[in-house]
Amino acid sequence: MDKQHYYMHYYISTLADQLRHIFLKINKRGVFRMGNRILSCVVFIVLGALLAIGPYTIFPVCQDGMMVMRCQNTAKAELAVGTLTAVIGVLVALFKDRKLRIGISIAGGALGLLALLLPNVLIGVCGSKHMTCRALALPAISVVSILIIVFAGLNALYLWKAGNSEVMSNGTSVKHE
Amino acid sequence: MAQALSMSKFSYMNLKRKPFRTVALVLAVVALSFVLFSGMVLSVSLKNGLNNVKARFGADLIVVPTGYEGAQESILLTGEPSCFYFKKSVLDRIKDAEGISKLTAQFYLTTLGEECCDLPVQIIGFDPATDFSIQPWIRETIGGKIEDGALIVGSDIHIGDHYSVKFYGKEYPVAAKLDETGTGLDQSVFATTETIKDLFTRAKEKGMNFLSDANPDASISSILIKVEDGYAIEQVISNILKTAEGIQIVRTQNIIAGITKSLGSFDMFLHMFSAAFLVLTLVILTLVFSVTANERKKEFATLRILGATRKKLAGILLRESLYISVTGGIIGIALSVLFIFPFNVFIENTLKLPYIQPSVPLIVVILAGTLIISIAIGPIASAKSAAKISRAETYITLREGE
Repeated sequence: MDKQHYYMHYYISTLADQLRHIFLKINKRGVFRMGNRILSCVVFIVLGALLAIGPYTIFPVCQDGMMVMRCQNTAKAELAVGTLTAVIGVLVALFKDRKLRIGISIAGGALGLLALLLPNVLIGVCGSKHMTCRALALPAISVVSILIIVFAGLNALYLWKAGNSEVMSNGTSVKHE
Repeated sequence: MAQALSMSKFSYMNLKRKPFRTVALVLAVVALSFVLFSGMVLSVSLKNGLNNVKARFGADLIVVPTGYEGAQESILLTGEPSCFYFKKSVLDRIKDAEGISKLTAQFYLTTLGEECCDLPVQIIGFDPATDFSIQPWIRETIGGKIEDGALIVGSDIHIGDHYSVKFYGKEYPVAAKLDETGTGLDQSVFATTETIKDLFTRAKEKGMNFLSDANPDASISSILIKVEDGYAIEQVISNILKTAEGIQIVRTQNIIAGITKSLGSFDMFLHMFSAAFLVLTLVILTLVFSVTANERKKEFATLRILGATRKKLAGILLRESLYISVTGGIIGIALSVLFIFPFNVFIENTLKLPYIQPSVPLIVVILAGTLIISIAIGPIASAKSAAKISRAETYITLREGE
C-alpha cells in the first residue's frame, strides 16, 4: 500500500473512532437507553402532528369556496384523530408498565385505521381526480395512516416479545418459557 | 443448545456490532434504489404519455378564433376549461379549401362546479356524423348505443354507481368512457350536437353568460382538420387562411414537438441523476469497505489462525456487503412505491406533461432490474477488499506495526 493510501485509511478510521466515542459518551448518560419509550413517543407525536396539521399545510385539502366540500370535513376529522395520536405518543412516554404500553400502542393502531378510513370510506374527498385533496391530501393521509398502523403493530409486538425475556442488571437476559 | 457459528451468522453479527456504519451504508443503497426505481417509472410514464398524445391527436390542424390558440392548447393538454366561438359559416367556407381529407366542428361549454367533479369541466360538443377524433377512442360502452341526451366522458371523470353525471342541475346518462390519454381530454365530457343544445339551454337558465350571438345552431368553437395524404401541411394552412378571416390555426405537430422538447430535457436530467447516484454509491461503498477491511486485518488474520480458509474470509466480507445491499434495495424500492404510485396524479399535475403509468408487467420488470442493480452494487464494491484480505499473509499481518 502506498503512503498516501495508508494515511487516508488512517484518518478515516480515526474519525470513525472519534464519532463512536462521542456516541458512547452520550449513550452512557442514558439518552438512548430509554429506547422504546422515547422512540415510540416521538414517532406517534410526529405522525399525529402530520395527520392533524398536514391537511391544512403541507398536503392541503381544497380551499374553502361557495360549496361545502367533503375533503374539508375530512381535514377537520383528521385534525381530531391526529391530535389523539399525538396524545397516544405522550401516554406511551409517561407510563412505564409494559402491558399498559401495549394497550396504548394498540389504541394508536386503531386511530391509524380510523385515519385511513376517514378519507377513503367514511367521509371521502372530492370526486375529481385532479383536485388537490384527491391528488395530494388523500395519498399523503393514507401513507401516514399506514405508517401509524404498522408502527403501532410493531411496537406492540416488540413490547409483548420483550415481556418474555427479562433483562438483568448485569446485562444478561433470562428467557421465560 | 449452542448453535454453530455459520458464515452467514458471523457476517450478520459483524454488521450488528457496528450499527452506525451499517445504517449509513444501508441508507446509501436505499437512496440509490429509490432514485433508480422512481426515475425509471417517471421516465416510462412520460414516454407513455407522449406516445398516447401522438396517437390521440387525430387532427392535424385545429382552427380556432383569433387569440384562442393558447386556450385550445390548454383544453387539450391540461383540461383547463375554456369557451370561445366563431360563426358556423366559417365551416362552410373552409370545407372547400384544397387538401382537406376530413373535417368536423366542435362546440365548447364549461360547467359550473358540479357534484360529480367539484371542478368546472370542459364539455365538447361533436357531430357524430363527421367526428373522427372522439368516437374511435371509446374504451367501454356503458349504456349501449350513444344516443342524444347521453354523454361520453374522459377517463378521469367520476361517474358514480348510476352511470350518470349532473350538469346544470340535470342528471345525464353516461353512454361511454374514453381511453386514458394522460392529457386534458381525460377531464373533458363529450356530447352530441343535440345534447349540447340541451346543455346550452340549461346553462343559460342557470345564469351562465355567453356572447350575444353564441348558440349551438349558429356558432362553433373549433374545426378539426385531417390533411389529405400528399399535401404539405403549410400549403393546406395557407389555403384555409385564404378562405376565412378572424381565424387562427393550431398545428398539433407543434404541440407534440413542445411536449417532446420538455420531456427530452426532463428525461435526460432523470438519467443523469440516476447515473450520478449509481457512481456515488459505488464510490462510497468501495471506500468504506476498503477502510474497514484494512481496519480489520488483524481480525481476519486471527480467523485464519483459527482455521478459516482464505475463501471463507472473502465470503464473510462479501456476505456483509450483500446483506447491506439487499436490505437497502428492498427498503428503497418500498419507499419509492409508497411515493410514486399513490402520488401519481400529483406528479402529473406538477409536471404538466402527459403522464400514463406503465403496465403491471413493465413495473415488475423495472422493479426486478432495480433490485438486481441494488443487490449487485454491494458485492461489486467489496470485491477488491475481499480479494485483498484473502491474499494477505497471516504472519506478516499479525506482526505488522511491531
